[in-house]
Amino acid sequence: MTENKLSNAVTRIKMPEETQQKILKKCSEYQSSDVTDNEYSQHVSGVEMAKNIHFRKLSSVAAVLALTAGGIGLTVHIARNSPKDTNHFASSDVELTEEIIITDSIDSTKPTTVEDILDPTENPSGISLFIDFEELFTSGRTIKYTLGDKPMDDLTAHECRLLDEFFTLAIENGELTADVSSSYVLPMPTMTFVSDNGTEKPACLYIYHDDCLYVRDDSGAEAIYRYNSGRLAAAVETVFRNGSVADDDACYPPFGNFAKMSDKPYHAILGVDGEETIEREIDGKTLHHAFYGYNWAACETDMRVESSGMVIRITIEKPDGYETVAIDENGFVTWYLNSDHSVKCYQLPDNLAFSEELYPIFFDN
Amino acid sequence: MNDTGSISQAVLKYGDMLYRISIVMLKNHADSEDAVQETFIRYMLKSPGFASPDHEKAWLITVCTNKCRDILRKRSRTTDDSDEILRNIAADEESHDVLDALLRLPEKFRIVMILHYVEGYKVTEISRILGKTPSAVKMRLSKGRSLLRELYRKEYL
Repeated sequence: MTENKLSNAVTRIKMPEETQQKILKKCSEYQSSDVTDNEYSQHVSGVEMAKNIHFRKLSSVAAVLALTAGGIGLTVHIARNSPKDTNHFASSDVELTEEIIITDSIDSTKPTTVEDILDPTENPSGISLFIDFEELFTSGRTIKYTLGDKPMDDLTAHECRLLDEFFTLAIENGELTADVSSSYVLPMPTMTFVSDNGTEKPACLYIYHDDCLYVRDDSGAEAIYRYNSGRLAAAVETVFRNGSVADDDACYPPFGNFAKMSDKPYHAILGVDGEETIEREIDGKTLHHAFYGYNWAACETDMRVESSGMVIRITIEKPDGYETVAIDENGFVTWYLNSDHSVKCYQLPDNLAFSEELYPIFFDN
Repeated sequence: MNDTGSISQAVLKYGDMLYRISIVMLKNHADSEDAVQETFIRYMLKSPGFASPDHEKAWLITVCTNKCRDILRKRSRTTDDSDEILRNIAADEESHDVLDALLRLPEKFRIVMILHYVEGYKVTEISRILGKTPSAVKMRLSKGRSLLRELYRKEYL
């Protein structure tokens, strides 16, 4: 087993003798100088985690979290007053000062509170927000999130938490990963879930959590999409049917097999990982995508993702038109939607989010 | 504050473990040395009363992995000493190969793999050490395992 070899190999790594002596000497110095912990903390330079920190490390790559409106066009204007700073985030006490205003360019009277947006009973369309994370982290300015005409200060605790969940991301080594303490919902195009007997029904619930996309329909049947090889472009790796669980070591079907389960076009789920460009052929169509930041679901027909530096454009062509979302290097986002191709976004009630009842496999018994 | 004697004992007892965790996370000798040093200094200055040796060990690992993450956050580019690490371990070819594959994995998989397969921690224990949910740890173990096998088979078999 590779895992046994791993243990044998890693235990061969030993701390050099001189390192050991250096550490003992340093500890002895501290001991003799009676340094207190506070003094030591001040002495140690670097990033210390602050309480309630929402934004962490920087990546040299811009991280963009998508928040787009379903069924309505939204334009996110990010006002910038200063050029980009390439210095990395050095203090956990940063105040973000930039105001981000999300305006509904089609219907300004539409409710746009987070609660309204994410509550499927009130508003079945989701909303997405694009934010250039690198800009946020490096600028040292305060960001005020405004949804519609409700400034962040007026958001309820629940709404703040939802926003916090969106924006709490751990960025490590240039790879965006979700902070696993946050489970949040990605806006997804309408997806179809295919059950064992071939019945198709629209999937009504999507949860993204730690590199996995969970899709669940009304019957409780679920599918989980994972990233292939830990990088971009998901393949269907594990399918859970009606509560049954696939073996972790099962041979996962390649993406194409899922497409064969349905007459409808498959849905490709794209993830992002730093600056990597992925070229992937799916069903005869080549997808090129270089992405900074976050996970996307693309769907159906022909999807073309292009990027040129910081400009990212996703075009989904359909027989009756097309959909395009474009993010330019200034963080301006334009999302055009066909009326019959809404983006849905759902939020699990808190008490059901990743509970043992829903996902027993993930919990120790 | 812990006395010198207990520090020496801790260094002797846990030094190798913390060093290899740091090396696997940081892939850099100098930074690993800093991480381990700072861990023991914090141990000396601020360690809580430990209920058991297991508690002490878990505390040290938690502090050390947090230090490693701090170091990773501070630097955008770092010297990757993987080649040197692989050269220096007194290893047979098999160990060399699997370690090489491990070092190529993303950091989040490396650390859970080490804690589980090398240090013998269970999922719930790892989740407490790393501050992640058990589900996340399971996912990372599963994915890390498959990635490691894939890499190892691809490169060395």
